Amino acid sequence: MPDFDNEEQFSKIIKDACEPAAPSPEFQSRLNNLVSSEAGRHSIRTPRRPWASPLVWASTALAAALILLSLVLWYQPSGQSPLVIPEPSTSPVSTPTPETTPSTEPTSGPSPTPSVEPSATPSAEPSPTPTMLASTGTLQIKVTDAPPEREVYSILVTLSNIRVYRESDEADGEGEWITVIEEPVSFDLIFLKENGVEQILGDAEIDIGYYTQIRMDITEVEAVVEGEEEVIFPSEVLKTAGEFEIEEGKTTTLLFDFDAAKSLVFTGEGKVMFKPVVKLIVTGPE
Amino acid sequence: MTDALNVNNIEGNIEQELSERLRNGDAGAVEDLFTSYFRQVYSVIFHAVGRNRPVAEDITQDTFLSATKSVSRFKGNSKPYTWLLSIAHHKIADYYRRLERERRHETRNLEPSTGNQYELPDDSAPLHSRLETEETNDIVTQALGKLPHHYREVLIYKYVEEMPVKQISQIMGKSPKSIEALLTRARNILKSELDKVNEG
Repeated sequence: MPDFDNEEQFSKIIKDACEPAAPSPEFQSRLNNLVSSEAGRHSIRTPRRPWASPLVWASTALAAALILLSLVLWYQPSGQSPLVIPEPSTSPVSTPTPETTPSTEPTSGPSPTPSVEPSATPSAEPSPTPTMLASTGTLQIKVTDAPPEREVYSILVTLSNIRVYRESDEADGEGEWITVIEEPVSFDLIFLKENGVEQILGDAEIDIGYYTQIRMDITEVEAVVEGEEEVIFPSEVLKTAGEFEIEEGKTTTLLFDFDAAKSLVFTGEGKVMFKPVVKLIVTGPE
Repeated sequence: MTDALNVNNIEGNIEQELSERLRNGDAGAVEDLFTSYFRQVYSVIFHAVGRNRPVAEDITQDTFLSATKSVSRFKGNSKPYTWLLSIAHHKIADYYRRLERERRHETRNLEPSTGNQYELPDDSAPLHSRLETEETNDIVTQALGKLPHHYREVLIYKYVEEMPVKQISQIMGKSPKSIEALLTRARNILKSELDKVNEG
């Protein structure tokens, strides 16, 4: 019987079971033609027509939804607010890494320096020995460190259906929700942190105007934690208030800065919870 | 020896040239990418989706068309083949997510990997004699088919494609430690599936 603990034998077993599969010649030929045709199409660049219809093309500005996955801060114990939504600022992203798509390789840029939060609890002096008076007792103060971190190997987040809310141009009018990304996209918070990369989830041309809300469906979060099997969290809707403008011919960028360490919460009962801590950074239109 | 070295140099040069052309946004380079890697990519996808030929064809097509559209985003930080497989990985993950959504709606098990690609082995013979016959591959293939797709994928990259952990990490978008943990779990679960056959 093959020894499955033997790496070499195990490797051979898998290799033998997965011999190279031959595609059908018809499929190969069909796909070859398709790829050639697509490549030809994408090689031809047509100039923009500035006189195009405003309803369709006026919003030449791209609303690029970038998820910038931030550096992991020190893990904080439970009790953190699930959503940190500061006022949007126009300051550029501090991490100068180039953009990448989910389907491309990460950059090899320098890892941003993680910020270090001060250590959990300062030591406290014990109370002085009380004087011996009637109706008093002894107060003893103890301190302890927070429990040691558990290593988190990956936090794979799957988002879908990213929508933004456009305010009406009229004072009393009703706005509308516009879908920017429909198909699910995934990213690993730990992977992006360790490699110092950004990941583009998608981009779209949308109508010019004033926008005030963003919503995204977190369809699945899968975490690999030291000492645990994979932990899978239920889906939820992430709602973020954030104001930004889309102007003709300009680009507005939305950066979602996830705090991976704060987002994964270890409870006292040894359970793991995912409570996303996200900061929105808006740049543009520019 | 000299011939092998020359072949390696040539392959390395072709890959480098392809990488350069992709970095320059040359959509035509995807045609050469197709010529060089189509069969390999198809084979990986075929095994990753549990040897389901129609699904493998769909995903392979999506992968190369997606590569054509996103060639401008190629930064050259990984090999073109790794880049292609990372696109394929996302397409495979999308496929299984769609399946899961459908399964939840229809409350049916739609896992394609346990489908109708092969027959069940003969349970009357003890495992060790079965493993010594050509049915070994069938048994292992079935056990692989029972794994969750990301376990199957990581085993293929590691043992069939013989990739280092770092390259697998680039393809699957997980940290190297996560990949190592995934590999350990995948091996354990596969062994457990094979043991089930043994207990028969």
